[in-house]
Amino acid sequence: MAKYEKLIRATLLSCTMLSVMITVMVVASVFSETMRFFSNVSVFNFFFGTEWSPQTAIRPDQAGGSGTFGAVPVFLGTFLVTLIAMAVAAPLGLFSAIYLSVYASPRFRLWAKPVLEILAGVPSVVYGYFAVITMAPMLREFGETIGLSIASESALTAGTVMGIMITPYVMSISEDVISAVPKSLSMGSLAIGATESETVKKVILPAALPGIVSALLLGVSRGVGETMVVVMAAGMAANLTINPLESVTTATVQIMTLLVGDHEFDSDKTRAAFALGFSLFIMTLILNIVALIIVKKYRERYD
Amino acid sequence: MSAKQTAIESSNMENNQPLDIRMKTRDLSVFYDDKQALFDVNLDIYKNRVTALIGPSGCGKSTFMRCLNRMNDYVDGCRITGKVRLDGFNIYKDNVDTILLRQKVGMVFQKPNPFPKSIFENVAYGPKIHKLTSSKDELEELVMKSLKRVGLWDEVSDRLSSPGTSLSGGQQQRLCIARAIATEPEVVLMDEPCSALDPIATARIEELIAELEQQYTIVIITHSMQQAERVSDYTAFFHLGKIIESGDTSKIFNDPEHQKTKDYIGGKFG
Repeated sequence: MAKYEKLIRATLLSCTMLSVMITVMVVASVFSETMRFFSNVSVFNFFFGTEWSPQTAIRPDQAGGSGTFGAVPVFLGTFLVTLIAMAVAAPLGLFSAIYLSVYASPRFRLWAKPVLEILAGVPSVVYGYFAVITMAPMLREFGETIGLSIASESALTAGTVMGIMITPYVMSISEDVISAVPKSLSMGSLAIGATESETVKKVILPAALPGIVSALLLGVSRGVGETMVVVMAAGMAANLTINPLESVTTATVQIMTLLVGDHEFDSDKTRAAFALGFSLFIMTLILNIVALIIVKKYRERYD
Repeated sequence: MSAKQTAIESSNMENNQPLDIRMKTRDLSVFYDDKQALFDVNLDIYKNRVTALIGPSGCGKSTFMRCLNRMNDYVDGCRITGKVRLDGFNIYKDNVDTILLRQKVGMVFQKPNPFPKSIFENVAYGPKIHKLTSSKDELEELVMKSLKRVGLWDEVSDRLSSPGTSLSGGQQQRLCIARAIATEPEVVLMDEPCSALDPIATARIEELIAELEQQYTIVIITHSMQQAERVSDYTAFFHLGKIIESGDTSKIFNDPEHQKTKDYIGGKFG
């Protein structure tokens, strides 16, 4: 019996160690490629340069023999698309979560929540089709009727569709945290004579705020890391713009285009992908840490 | 017979007139979907008196109490027939403002449920919602008065901005009572207010109930016979959704008419 217990323990431990080690190795390999990239390209140029054209010519003596790696347009594009996505997902997700957890009858919630959660299981490439085939023409036509010209690949299209994609995540997590607010609190508020909306605004949302903030930050992380929708809907050109009607590119799109095809992983071009990836990793790490700090702070105050 | 009972009866004799009825129910029945939980309940709740509702779990005490401030409105599938009157006014009429009703009929719950807000904001919550005060000074005055009323002021006056949840269980429950009386209600409903508290905190709440009785009409649900006997003037014994017996607490406890009442009070079932 003791031997059996030991075996179980050893198996579980080795699985844990293996996944930790894999994570460390992934980070280490990305980090070392990134360091090699930065030995050729200055860190300053990468983070503050405004021109991104990593495609180098075959022979160094041709025009454009060396690429320029100013990542500002790429990060700005990522930021813009994510911002638009959150502008869609935050209200949609949060409001539907409030409706489902506070107002909806148990019967309605019973079928509505799973249906919305199914949306979270749709592969992102399908959302990409949706963006290209449905959303982009729709937005373009709408733009024409009000006299705006919207590029067929635009930050707006990609952001909107990405927002639709993130909504179920934000909704599902927010619904969980709002439902976790003790019923006794909302009953207490209603019994004092507050209306349902006052109760939501003054008691339930403040109590659920840390969870909602982490739901939103998780949504942002997903947006930043999302690839397929932006590949299909946002575009490749690294335009330095904050105009949502124009085509922009994102870090994930660039990583993909830099690495697609036959390449040797020894040029600045391919290493630039690792630098972008590492930056994304740091960004999402910071987002998660910030989310954790917020949650912890509120726990201390309210529990 | 407790000393308190004697005092009340003698004061009754002095006045020699019937007590005012603050709330009354007539043929009150409650259904949860198809299941009937209350059967034709008739009860008078007297002004400035404490009415205790006793009975085994599931007998309909809480359902009855929730009828008095219409909290049953939030229970899915709940349907009510009969009448509930507050100062002669039927609170189940179609155009009744439940918000105003709940200002007049406050409620304290089984488990202390302070909001995740400061002590001050907890007490100020009701007055703010009902716009009872017109200035910040008035609001502060009202909060202070309410906290003093429950004997919490001296304990918390130097930390009004710390969270209500940082208080001890007994203090939290007194905070919740302060929150309920800050809307200046006429009736205060208490659903087992001491069940989550230790004996010392319980004694403190019982003292408080005796003090509050002067100004408010109180309805209390309790599973402790001693508590019902100590704090209440009137007692209603519920069993399987019906009132078996109601009347003066001393009468119910010392000379009950029904065998079931006698058995329940004697601890033979429940």
